[in-house]
Amino acid sequence: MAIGLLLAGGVGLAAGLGSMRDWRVDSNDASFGALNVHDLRVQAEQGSFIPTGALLDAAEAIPDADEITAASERLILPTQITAVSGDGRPVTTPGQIVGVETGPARSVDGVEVTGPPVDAVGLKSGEWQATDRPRTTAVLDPQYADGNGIVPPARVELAGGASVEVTGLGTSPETFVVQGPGGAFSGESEFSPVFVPLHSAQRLTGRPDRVNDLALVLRPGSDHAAVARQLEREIDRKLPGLGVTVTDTDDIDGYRILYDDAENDQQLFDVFAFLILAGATFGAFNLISRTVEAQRREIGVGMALGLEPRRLAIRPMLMGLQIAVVGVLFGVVVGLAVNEWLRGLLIDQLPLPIVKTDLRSGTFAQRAAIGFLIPLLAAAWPVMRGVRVTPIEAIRSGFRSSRGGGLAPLLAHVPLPGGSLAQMPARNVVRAPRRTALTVLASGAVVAVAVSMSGMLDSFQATIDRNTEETLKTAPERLTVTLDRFYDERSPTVATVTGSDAVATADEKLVIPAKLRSGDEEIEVSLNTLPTGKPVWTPTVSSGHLPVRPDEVLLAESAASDLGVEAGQSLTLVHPRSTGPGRFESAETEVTVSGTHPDPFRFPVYMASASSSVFGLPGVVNSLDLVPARDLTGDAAKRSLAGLPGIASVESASALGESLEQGLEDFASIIRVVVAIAVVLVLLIAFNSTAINADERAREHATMFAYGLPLRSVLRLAVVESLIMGVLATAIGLILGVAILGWVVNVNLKEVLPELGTVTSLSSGSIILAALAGVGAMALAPVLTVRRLRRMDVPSTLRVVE
Amino acid sequence: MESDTARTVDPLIDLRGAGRHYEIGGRTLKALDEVSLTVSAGEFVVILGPSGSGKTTLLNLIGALDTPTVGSVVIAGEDLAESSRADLFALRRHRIGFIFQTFNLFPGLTALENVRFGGDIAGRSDAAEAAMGVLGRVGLGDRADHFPHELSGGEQQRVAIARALVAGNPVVLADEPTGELDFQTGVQILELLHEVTHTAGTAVLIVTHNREIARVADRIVELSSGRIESDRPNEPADMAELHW
Ligand SMILES: Nc1ncnc2c1ncn2[C@@H]1O[C@H](COP(=O)(O)OP(=O)(O)O)[C@@H](O)[C@H]1O
Ligand SMILES: [Mg+2]
Repeated sequence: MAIGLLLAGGVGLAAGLGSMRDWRVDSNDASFGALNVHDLRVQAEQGSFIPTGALLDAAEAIPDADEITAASERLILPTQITAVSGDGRPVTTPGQIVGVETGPARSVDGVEVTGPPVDAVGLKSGEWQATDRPRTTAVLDPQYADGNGIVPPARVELAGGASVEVTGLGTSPETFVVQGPGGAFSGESEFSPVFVPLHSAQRLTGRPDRVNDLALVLRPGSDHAAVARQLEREIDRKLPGLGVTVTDTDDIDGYRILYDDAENDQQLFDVFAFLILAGATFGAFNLISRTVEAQRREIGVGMALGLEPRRLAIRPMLMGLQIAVVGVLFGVVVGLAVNEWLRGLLIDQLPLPIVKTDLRSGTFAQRAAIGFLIPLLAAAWPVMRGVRVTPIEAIRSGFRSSRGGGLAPLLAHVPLPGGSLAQMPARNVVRAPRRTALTVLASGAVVAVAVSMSGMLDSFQATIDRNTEETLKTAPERLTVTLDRFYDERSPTVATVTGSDAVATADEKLVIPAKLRSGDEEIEVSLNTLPTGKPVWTPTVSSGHLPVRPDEVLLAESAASDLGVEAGQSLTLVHPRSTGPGRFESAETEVTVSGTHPDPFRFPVYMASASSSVFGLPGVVNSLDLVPARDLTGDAAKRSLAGLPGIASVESASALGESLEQGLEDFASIIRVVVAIAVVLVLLIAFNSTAINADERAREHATMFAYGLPLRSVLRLAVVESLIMGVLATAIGLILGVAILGWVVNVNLKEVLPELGTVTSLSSGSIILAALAGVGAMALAPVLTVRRLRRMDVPSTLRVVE
Repeated sequence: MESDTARTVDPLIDLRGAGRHYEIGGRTLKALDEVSLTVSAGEFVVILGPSGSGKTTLLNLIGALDTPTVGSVVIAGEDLAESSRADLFALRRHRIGFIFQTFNLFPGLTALENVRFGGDIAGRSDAAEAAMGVLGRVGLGDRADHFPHELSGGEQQRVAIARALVAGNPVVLADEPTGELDFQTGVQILELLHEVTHTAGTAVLIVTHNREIARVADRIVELSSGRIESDRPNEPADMAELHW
């Protein structure tokens, strides 16, 4: 029964976790499909606008125009959103106006789909009454609304003071995963798209009859790259001087992230599920084969009596079958429970309009089949060995007590200090090496899961801590102010902020999104200029020096290693350059690495303040680093600054780390459940193993009792023996766990979260947990046999002739 | 040494109307009825009787593995009825040595270590040397490092004898010690046991149902249906003349 439960735990977890990728891929497919995600997207260079219809005309003029099944023009511009939150305070965050065609709503897969024919808007709640309304109606991101306590109908204010009426909440394929100012790490409540009808967007942004974006859906199987080339050529011909970039579905960050995550997370789950299943398998195999082994003599007797081997095999095989049935039944129950829990988690966490979590009967059947076969194999193995032994050998008395000593002879030559009793536990451990190995591997594998899982949490925590330490080192209350646009550093807007009562000191800086390229490697970064003089904060330099010349950059260590550069080497900076008010072009500048900083986030890059001329923005700033006045907390300063003109957002300098920490919480719950299951599995393995051990050693124990060895000494022998196995299991678990942790951090996480240079870390707490689970459970398990030992009928046990 | 003082207690084993009754389904099964028996130091007693006659039960009472339901068992002056569980364990460590039909050696220990176990638990500080000495006397000095599974049945039983003797306890109990061995080996074992206990003044009780083997005894006690049928001295026969 206990063996069945052990198997059930492993099979159930494996089956339950096994469905995640399918569910997520299905949900992705359904969501992107229902909303008609674009195959190609044409984006005008930042700051350039085209008359409505011109891009569509160009698209219709290409040779492969037949391949285009749907197209829609859009006007997409950054803005800020000021909303009155649930508790009555105004919150201002960056956002994006997305002006799109509107059309009739239709229902797909239970989701209300509205807006344009390409990259449509899937409504989560409310509606989008886009027409015939005096005021502009808008749809906001549900997670943003949730985070800021906005419930439609509500009114939000956009940059420039215009207000729109939020009538619904919803997302479109490009905004399933919302990327705020902090890249993938900004909280979902810190940024939102604002879907408004195209003409409203044009009016709100003062760009009448202008668009800057075209989304296209192509016929299935068409050559995307060819169509993209034709588009570029045609636009160049029809709209000379207009710079456009054509991207495809894979270039949508959210698209890539959602599919990659599904894959990478599954890899992770697979590793853990496999380990737990392996642990349960080793354990079950071991326990069953030992139980059947104990009946080998009976098998021998039966054979001596001329019974057919087939009939002799029935009893042990029935036991195996019984365990298999229990294991699979409970395994399916456990699996369904794990499924149910993950389903809730997915529906809660996946930012998709459609979440598909159908029962994966295939995955279940496959895992259940494994769970069914293991006990049968485990029972069959010793039966086969039993029937192969000659009857005479099998019924010879003392057959078992005098059977081989395993590897014990090896240890005979390394006698431990102390008498015969001191030798016994270690000898017993090596006496049956195969069995010991199975038990140790079983618990080791499971301990490894606990170690690597909690190590993951530790690593995240260590990474966040390192980021917090770096960002807050000199000024714990430091705040970062994002201005709503570029300002001259001597402008009154900047002066109002720096001169505010709430501010003790402030540094102006320029924050520019850019890319760094070295060879084939290219990463996205956020450039920050460092103020001259005595700054509020400067990054720690872990190698090289702070940037001095305008063409020097200080990179994160992880960025340097990903790009394969070190201090003194040069690389290409791809960045926007101002060509006039509100106009930018893309430019490339050769820069030299001045050194590295230890922030685990990969994207912060620092340059000297003189570098602002590289971007064509000398003396221009768009962000401030500041320390609140002495008697103010960061929160108080935040509140008094938020009302000032020109401020887009005010955040703690460690806001990124904090939002990551919050994201970690969701993940942590999965991990804690798996760790808990792992610990329970170790306990099950340990208790089962010692219970069987106690049976097998009954005669030895009886002999010891006959010779007057007290109960506590016999128990101590059992505890020491079990402890040795526990230590071995823990050691294996730690080694394996650390190896898995290394893989997770350096391979898996590197793919899932490239922007995060995760620090590999294993806390003493996790090691203690592993030791408690491994050593503790194993050492304590024999104590549970104390009642049995105390009540042992010594004469009867000795009387039994084997 | 403790066991030497114990040896001067006379008789070493004193059963007064001792019996072991089992209540099974409302009926009383007298595995051992009321038996009175005394054994002195240096006696080599064979307990003979058909299967089920209570031989093992008797031996278990003497060995403090079991307690009498009627009468009393006094070993080396200690009344087992008045002894605590801990006392009984101590009594077994310091007064008694067991030899089993199935040897019951510890498979993880070498021959020497198995013998040493007997000395260790009796608290002998010289257990290692003593074990080597006794192992030599049972003729296995050169097999000290062998594990039980590397020894023949007869050799294993000789190791078991050494284990029972090494503590120097005054009473040695053997339940069918030759049951697992061929006749020739069994006789050799008994001869050896006789020889090594004779000089030390150990009281030896051997249970068997083999009349032929009983002829090595100084004294033969015959059991039948839980009662002593006869208790008589015996002139040990010449081992060479024994046959089935
Ligand atoms: N624990 C027990 N419970 C019930 N009956 C027992 C028990 N132990 C022994 N007996 C019975 O007591 C009788 C004597 O047994 P035993 O002393 O083992 O005989 P022997 O060793 O002479 O063959 C037998 O009939 C046996 O079945
Ligand atoms: Mg008997």
